[in-house]
Amino acid sequence: MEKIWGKTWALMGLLLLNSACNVSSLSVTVNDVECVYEYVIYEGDTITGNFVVVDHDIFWGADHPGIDFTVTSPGGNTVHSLKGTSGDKFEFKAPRNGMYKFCFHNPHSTPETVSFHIHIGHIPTEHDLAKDEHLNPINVKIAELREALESVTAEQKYLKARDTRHRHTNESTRKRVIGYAVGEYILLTLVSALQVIYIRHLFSKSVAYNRRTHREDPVDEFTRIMQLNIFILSSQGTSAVRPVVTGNVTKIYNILGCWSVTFGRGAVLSEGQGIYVPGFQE
Amino acid sequence: MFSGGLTACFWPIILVLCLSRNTNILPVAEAIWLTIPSSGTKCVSEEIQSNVVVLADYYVIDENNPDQIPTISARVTSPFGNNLHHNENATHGQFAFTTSESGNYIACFWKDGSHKQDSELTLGIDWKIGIAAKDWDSVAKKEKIEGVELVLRRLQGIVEAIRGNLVYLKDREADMREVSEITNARVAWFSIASLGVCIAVSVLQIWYLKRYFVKKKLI
Repeated sequence: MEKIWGKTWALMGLLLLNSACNVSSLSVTVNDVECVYEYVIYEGDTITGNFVVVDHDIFWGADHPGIDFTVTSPGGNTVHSLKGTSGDKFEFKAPRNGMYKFCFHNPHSTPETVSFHIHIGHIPTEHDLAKDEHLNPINVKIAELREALESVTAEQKYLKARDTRHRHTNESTRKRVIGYAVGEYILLTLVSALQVIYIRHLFSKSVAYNRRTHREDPVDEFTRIMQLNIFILSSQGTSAVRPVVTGNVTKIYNILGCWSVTFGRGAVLSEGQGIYVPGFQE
Repeated sequence: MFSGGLTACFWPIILVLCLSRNTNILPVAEAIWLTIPSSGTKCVSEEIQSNVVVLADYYVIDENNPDQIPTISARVTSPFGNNLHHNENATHGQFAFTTSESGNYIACFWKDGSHKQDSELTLGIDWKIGIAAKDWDSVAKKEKIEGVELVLRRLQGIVEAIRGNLVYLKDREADMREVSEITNARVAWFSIASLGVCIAVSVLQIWYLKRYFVKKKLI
């Protein structure tokens, strides 16, 4: 009876001990360096874990260098180290018992959120079996089974963290698709409207180019216009003789050796020698 | 840094753990330790689905002056912003809740203003969710099982939790696949629509300019 009670207490103790080495997967924001400490009771325990950079600035994310991960033993040596990764699993045997330091280092200024899971597993060895008569081989098997289930759970936590990261990327892609498509349509419409406005502006009266040459068909315009202006150029290179116009004449002047006559309907032109060139309508 | 001071703070750990709700007899170090900066807050978070039990214990560890342990304040917020736990000027505390919505649960700790030293605090957190938070002692007492049967019952609980996690991951993957496929379809449609917008806008341009030039007697 005593033996059974002793065994059950030992088993419960072992159970509690095994259950003790169990941490949930927490997320920490790493600005520069973040360290997590965990105490390893037995020398030779297997420390397993994983970490994933979950939420980082995904702008040009494809070539993001990731973060560095270092494990320091209580003696100060670096037991395990990973550089420039965005998530990985790790496993090593603790060389001695004591307080181990797990550090994440972020080489960039943007803060990153890291989700990590650390598990310290202890399986009783034959030495422990020999020391403590309450332990029997079934404890070893149970411990091994427990460790195997823990490894499955750890893998699931790793998959969950990676899935979260993938989800963030997907959301970002979805928002970008809509944003860029709508922006593209608006930009296209704007640019074409600007083009039309510019072309209109090129043909407006305010532009100096249009004042000098006006390509109107004089035959069509003649019946409508009220006033016509003509230039009389000299054919011999000298100044032309001033034309004589009777009737409805508005303006007559000499410009650079040519005569410019503006007259209305009903005017009569006489005595103007030279080449007649239709001018602009006023 | 820690090996020298460890023996000094080992016994307080055991004492605190013995006096805490778990009443473990053996010296167990269940928790992870974090450093709280002298200014600013240190936050830990976890994405938890709904209907999950969360159990956490936190305590300050300071080996320099065991008489006057620095105090911290803690706050736990749910993803919708509700304040689940708030504690001020304490050296240790605990909180337990069942999640009602799925999302990011954040626990923040910061140093109290009363201690103006520039040193960093060490905080131990024991954070358990789901099956790890189950109180097996009460199950053992209630159902009067012990020993190997209790251990196997525990392992069965873990296996069921694994299966639950797998189903959850599968559902999440299905959601994400749907989002991916919608995005894929949208990329195709928006590209074709962009071509359509281009053609429509250029036709409008040409029609308007032709009308304008006809009005201005240019063509």
